[in-house]
Amino acid sequence: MCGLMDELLESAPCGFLTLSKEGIIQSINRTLLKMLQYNKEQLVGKHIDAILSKSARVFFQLYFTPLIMKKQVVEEMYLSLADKNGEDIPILLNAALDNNKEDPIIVCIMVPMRRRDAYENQLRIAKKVAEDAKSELELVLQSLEDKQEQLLVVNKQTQNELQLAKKIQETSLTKAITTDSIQMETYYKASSELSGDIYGFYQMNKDQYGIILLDVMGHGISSSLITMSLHSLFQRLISRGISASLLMKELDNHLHELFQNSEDVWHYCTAIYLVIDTNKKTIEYVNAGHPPAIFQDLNGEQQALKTTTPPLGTFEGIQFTPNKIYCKNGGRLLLYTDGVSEPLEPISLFSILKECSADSLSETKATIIRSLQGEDKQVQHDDQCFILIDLK
Amino acid sequence: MNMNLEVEVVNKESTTLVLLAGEIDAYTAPELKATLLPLTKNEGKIVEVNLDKVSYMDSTGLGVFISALKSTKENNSEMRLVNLRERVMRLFQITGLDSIITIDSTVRGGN
Repeated sequence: MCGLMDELLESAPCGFLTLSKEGIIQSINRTLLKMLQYNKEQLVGKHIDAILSKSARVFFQLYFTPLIMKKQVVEEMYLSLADKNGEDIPILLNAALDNNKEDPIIVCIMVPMRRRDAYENQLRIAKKVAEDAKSELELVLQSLEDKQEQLLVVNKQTQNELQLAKKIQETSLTKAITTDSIQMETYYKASSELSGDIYGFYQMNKDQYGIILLDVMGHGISSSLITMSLHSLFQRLISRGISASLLMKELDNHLHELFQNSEDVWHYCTAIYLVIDTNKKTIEYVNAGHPPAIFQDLNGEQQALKTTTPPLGTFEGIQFTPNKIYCKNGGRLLLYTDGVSEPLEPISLFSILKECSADSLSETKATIIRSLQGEDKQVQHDDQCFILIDLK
Repeated sequence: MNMNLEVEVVNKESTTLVLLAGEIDAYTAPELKATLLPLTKNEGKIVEVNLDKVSYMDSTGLGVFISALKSTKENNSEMRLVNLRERVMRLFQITGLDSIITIDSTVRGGN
């Protein structure tokens, strides 16, 4: 039995050796000899230092020897052996001091740790890679948060700018005129901050009023820029008392010049311009592709001031010949952009105006707004603008 | 939420058919313009645009057809619009462009 055990110990899957208290190797199994590439004669009788790496020798003396003498046992001590060629072999050492014999011996079991070390190294590398990736990710996240922060600031600035631009655009709208012979109500609502619609009212002399409503293609910033450009032009021209046909010609020329050779940014606009003469009781108008204005006399009879020419800025050489209607006994006018008429379809503004015949101008305005709000439950697609005028 | 616009071009001998489906607005008009305008630059070519499946068009869409019409005049080609729905046709009528652009008088019902 003892012989079998000895044989099994020789080939056990771990190193086995016995040492004297002084650290002299007394026996060593085949597994450990094979690991160290020595034969038995080369090691038995030698000090343990012969198979320890240089660093392990110091460690062995400083820690192993005092510990085994004091506690008689050492568990899982990590050491490096050195094989015949000086190659390090990491091992875990378990040892016990056997004091029962006349000469006490130290019994050692050594388990090689090369693979575990390799795994640990891989784990360490993987951990390092993960930590580096995490650091990089944190940097990217931080950078993203910074950019987002910057974006919010820029967005806020843009919103502030747009709000300011909106105020400027609304300030440019002329105030409604109220005299003994004429009364007005207006409604102006952009689909976003800025509008592509614009209007203006000007008393040209004692009896004549120039009234214009324009709707530039599209809406938003680009359209609003064009409205402001047209605004400064029509304000100057109408105040000078220019004729309806010449005014439209000038606005048309302005758009052609503005977008000459710039097909990519080309815009057109629809416009209606009225010259109301309260003495002659006439309305002279040019409608350039704009939804028809409605004139309703005191008997409720309606006339559509339909388009007479294509929109402004479309084709060269358009003649803007004015039309004229008579309003001897006064009446009511409604000018609007398609942003008002389209959402109300199939109910037409003609019928709303007729239904409100007996209502005041402000009541009629409120009715139209109520109708729009009823239809406008979803997103407002287009800018909305309308002008109501009572002629007395 | 804006709908997309599908644009299909079918070339025949002297006519190019452009089949549109969806909505023509500020978001989809640039794509239509990029397809339609080059077609109108071929001298003698007839470009027939079928708007049967166009449910909505705004002033930006109208602008594309004005640009295309100007291009046909500059390049001696021709454009005609067919199968317009009532709502789309109304836009051409209000602006008076129905008397300038060749539009098939048969208007499809529905909005």
